[in-house]
Amino acid sequence: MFKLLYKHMHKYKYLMLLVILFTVLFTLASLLSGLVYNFVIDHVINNQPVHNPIIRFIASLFYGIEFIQQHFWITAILMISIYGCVYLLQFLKDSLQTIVSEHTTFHLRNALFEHLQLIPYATYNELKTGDIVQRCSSDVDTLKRFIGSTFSELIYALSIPFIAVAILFNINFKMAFVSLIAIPLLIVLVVIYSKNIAKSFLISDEADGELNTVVQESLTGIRVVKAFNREQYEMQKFEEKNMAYRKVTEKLIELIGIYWSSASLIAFLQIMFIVGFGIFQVRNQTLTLGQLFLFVTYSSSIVWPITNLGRLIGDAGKAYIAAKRINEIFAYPIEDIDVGEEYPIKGEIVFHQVSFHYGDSNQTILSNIDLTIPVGSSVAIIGPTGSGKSSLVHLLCRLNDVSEGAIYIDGHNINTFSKRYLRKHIGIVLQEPFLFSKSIYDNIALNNEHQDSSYVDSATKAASIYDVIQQFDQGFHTLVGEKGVTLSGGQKQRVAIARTIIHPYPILIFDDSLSAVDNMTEKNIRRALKETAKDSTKLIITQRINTCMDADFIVVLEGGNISAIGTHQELILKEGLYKRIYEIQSQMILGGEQDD
Amino acid sequence: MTNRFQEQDFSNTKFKFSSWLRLAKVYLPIKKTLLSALIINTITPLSEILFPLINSYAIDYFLIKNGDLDKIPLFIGVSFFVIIVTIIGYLLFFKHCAKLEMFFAYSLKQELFHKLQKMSFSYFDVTPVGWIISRVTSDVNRLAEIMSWALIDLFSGLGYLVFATTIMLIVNYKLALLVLIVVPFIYYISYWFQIRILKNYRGIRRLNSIITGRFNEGIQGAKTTKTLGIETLNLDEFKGDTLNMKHTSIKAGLFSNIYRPLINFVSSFAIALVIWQGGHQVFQGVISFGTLLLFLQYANQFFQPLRNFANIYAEAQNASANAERIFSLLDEEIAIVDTKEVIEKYGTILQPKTENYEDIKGDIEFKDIEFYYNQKEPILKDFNLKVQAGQTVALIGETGSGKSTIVNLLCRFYEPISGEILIDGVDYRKRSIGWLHSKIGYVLQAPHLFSGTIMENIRYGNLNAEDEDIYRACKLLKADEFIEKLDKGYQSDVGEGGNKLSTGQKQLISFARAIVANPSIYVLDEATSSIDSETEKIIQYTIEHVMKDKTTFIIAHRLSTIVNADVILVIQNGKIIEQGNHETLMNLKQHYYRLYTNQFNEQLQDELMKGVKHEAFE
Repeated sequence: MFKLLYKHMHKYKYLMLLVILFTVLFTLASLLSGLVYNFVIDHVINNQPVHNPIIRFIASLFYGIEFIQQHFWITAILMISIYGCVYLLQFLKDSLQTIVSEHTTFHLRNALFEHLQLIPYATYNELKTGDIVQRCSSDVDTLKRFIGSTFSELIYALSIPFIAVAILFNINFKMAFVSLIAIPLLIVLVVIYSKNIAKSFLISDEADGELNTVVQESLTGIRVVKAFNREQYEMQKFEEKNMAYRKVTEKLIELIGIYWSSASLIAFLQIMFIVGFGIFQVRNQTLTLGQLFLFVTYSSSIVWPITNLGRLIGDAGKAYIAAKRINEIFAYPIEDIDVGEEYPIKGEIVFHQVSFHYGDSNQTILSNIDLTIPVGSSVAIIGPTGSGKSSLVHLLCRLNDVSEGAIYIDGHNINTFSKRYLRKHIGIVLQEPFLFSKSIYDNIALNNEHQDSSYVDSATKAASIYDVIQQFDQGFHTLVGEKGVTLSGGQKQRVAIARTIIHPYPILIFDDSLSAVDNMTEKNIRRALKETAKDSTKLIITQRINTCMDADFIVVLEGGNISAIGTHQELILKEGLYKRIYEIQSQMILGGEQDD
Repeated sequence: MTNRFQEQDFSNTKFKFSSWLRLAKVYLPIKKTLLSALIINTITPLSEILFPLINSYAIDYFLIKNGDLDKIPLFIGVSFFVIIVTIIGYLLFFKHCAKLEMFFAYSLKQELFHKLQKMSFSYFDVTPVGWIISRVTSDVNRLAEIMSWALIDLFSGLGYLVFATTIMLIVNYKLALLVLIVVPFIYYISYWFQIRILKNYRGIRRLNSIITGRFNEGIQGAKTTKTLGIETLNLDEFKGDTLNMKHTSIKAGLFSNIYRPLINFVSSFAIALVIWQGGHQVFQGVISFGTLLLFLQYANQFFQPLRNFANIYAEAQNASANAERIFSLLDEEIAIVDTKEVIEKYGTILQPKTENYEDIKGDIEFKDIEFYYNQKEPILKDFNLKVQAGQTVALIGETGSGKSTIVNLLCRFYEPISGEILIDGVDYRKRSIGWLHSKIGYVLQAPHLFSGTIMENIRYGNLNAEDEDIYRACKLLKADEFIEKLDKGYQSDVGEGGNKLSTGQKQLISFARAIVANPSIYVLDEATSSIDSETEKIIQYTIEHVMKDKTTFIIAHRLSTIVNADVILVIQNGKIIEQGNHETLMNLKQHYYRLYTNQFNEQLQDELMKGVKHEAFE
């Protein structure tokens, strides 16, 4: 935990030393205020002779005890100035803590975000978004609280008993002993607390998490819930979790209540003992009234920080777990997107004996793919679900790396390119594109160096989405997502296409990215592409025959193998998948025509 | 149609007593517990106040007046008694708070969730899920805290102040006034700071949710980010937000960092005044030493409840917005409700009387339907359609032509503005929403799966389905092939929202889910758009067999999906422009014909018709 925090504190770690210093000074000053009471009660009010040379010296600063007794307001000034020091130190320590903790979280958050962006493509499928986001938000907050308060409270709670005990033993050994009876009891209590309550906290947090998950899932899937008339079922599921959370949390709070009440019981009994025992001591002249008062105040100064220790240890434990969870994110290996060459890219693509499987899995996704795509040609890739179409184009962008064989672009093995450079030259529109919660304009001009609106206009026109956008209330400035307009699947796909074709990529890939668009629109987009991207090499994954007919040649993928390559005319003459698909998609039209 | 969510702005909501009274109504079922909790917690501080009094008296008696030491056991006994009473008070305080807080949160969440389950589609179409979730979780939790801890604190603080003031005034009214002088300052400073601290805190929470959103987007959009190569752009934007957060937090922190020491410092003036005046009086022998001790202790503790008051008031004022947002949800009118008579017969969605549900044969009639989401943009007008039981109806048309609206109306996710929809000759509003939904199998375009196994997801369609039923449904759709290839087969986890599966696979599961439900009417809204042609052909076969006797509505872009339909409706601008089966419509050589033939490249068409036709089919 400390390593993680230390790393992100940067130069502010020196301020942390100041925080420790101020905390100790604050502790000392607050104990000093007790001694001032002692002085006022014994020497000023009760007029007892002063033996201690330090006190005598301090008294002499105010022209001696007698002068103070004649000008009693000096006691008030004395109290206010000592409290002034205490609270000034408190202010300094708190402010420094805030600065250090905010600075550290700032760096930690940035580092997390950067790391998350550089995780390899395949790893994202393993991530649970909700879980990661929670780590990045609430776990970071837990660490922030640790630096921002828990840490110095711990120092305070651990240092105050030692200093106070030292002072008390100096004053009256027997009384000090009596004042310490509570400490072992409290420690036992703290240990019991840390063990049991921490567990209850965990149980309650989990119940809360489960409840929130039910709410989240039920509401995101509300259409399914309604369509299947499952409202009652959802309500039962919710009620169950709601009740479970209520039960465990009620128990948790009661447990905390028992803890605090027991600690208070010990504290009160402690004071009762000090007063009772002190009365004998004062009567025997071995203790002064002021000292008795000091014992009473100090014993509460010891009891409460130790009681608090239970909570603090719990918080420190939470911070430790939070750090561990955050470190797990940092433990995901990241890809270096900047290492590699930057050869100019024209767009010739060669797959040579390419095979692919995920990590250790022995399920082959692609095997022995040999494929040459000349510059500027358009290739349609067709095949059943799970035949490896997407994997094939992902390999080209190095979203995944080939397991065997190699892919060459213009004669260079793509593994020698820097990933950033490679991806900047290959435009790919994913099957389920993601739009950022910005305006439509910003989504399309995301990576556009020129930021010129005429580019955005022509790209959206080519993607057949210009008119749709114009119809929105705020046109191109309409926000996308929860706070703005909800786009349909087809609209999203078209915005994603516009976002891609705004750049003159030498290689363009469409990963079934027109599946949710109607035929007419799809045809218009294909037409537009022919003009705007005529020099680009185009790879188009599709389920539609008419898209295939448009391509220079067609690759048929089945079970990770290329089962056929050829033009539309060639393939419809061969027995095989392509011909069958063609027949499915066209038999009726031909049947209909034959009657004419 | 633009679906825009416009949240009412509650940020300047002022503290309204009526809102809190309405919240308090949640406690009606346990009003006796609430009342006794409030009374008990007002009285219990008395014992806490007596403790310093006993100590002061003991010191005066034993040490100043040199009283009889035999009375020590009496002192111990009385102290012990007071201590025990105080501790019981503490225990009760926690017990009451726990009970109230949890009851409040539980009940309000129940009420909200209950309401949400009854809300119709139109609400969810325009309200972001994230917004609703915050209402049900964080808003409720926050209010529950105020309605329990803060409320009880208020009463016990009041008890403390009243008792302590009374005792101080009785013991020595001059010293008491010295302590009370500081009261207005403490309250005013506390209030001034608390309001600002909470306002800043609200700003931080807003920034926090922006940053959380960024993380969310960073992960969900990671693949897109990679393909576009915009890592640096994203990081720069993110850094802008975190920097803003850092500055705002430090500024907000400054307020609390000043407030706490300052308020303590001001309280120390009361102590100083007591020491000065009280000490002087003891010195002159006017008051006893015990009295001074008593006032010193009270001066130390007296201001805590006062600070709490300021804090509670500021919190309550700040939480008013949360309360208003919750009320806005609770008061939201439900667009589609059953009439009283219908509810009487068929029950509500959450308490249905399924024994009264009639079976559906499947005759459907749309009669003079008019519909719009927004009055300026009519979607359907004078729409009429008659479907016989068992027929398959396909709807085609461009995006926005109104085909989804037609099935939304059929499923009663929306209701017609005028006209009526008859199912087996009866207006569907004469039967309950639950009745209809339990008879319709609706497969959505964007298939949503719940986290859990494939088995659980399919069983969602019919909670009583046997494993065999589920296998059969999957076999029909040939989904068993891919499912059995998965490591754990039917017990495989589908991931969050089903994201471990491809879109096509999700569509198959969602289709299977509808089949096990064994509905009387099927509605397939682009249900196979991401499934490849061969698989789709198998599904076609399934559709024909499973749905043979059932009325089925299909929306599809791919015409091959719909050629076998009994009736094909071509919809344009909310009107049926062509109607008939595939052959009739092809022969019409109108819109459908054009749409259909457009699936082929015109340039190749002639060639195709001449050359390929014979080779391919002979």
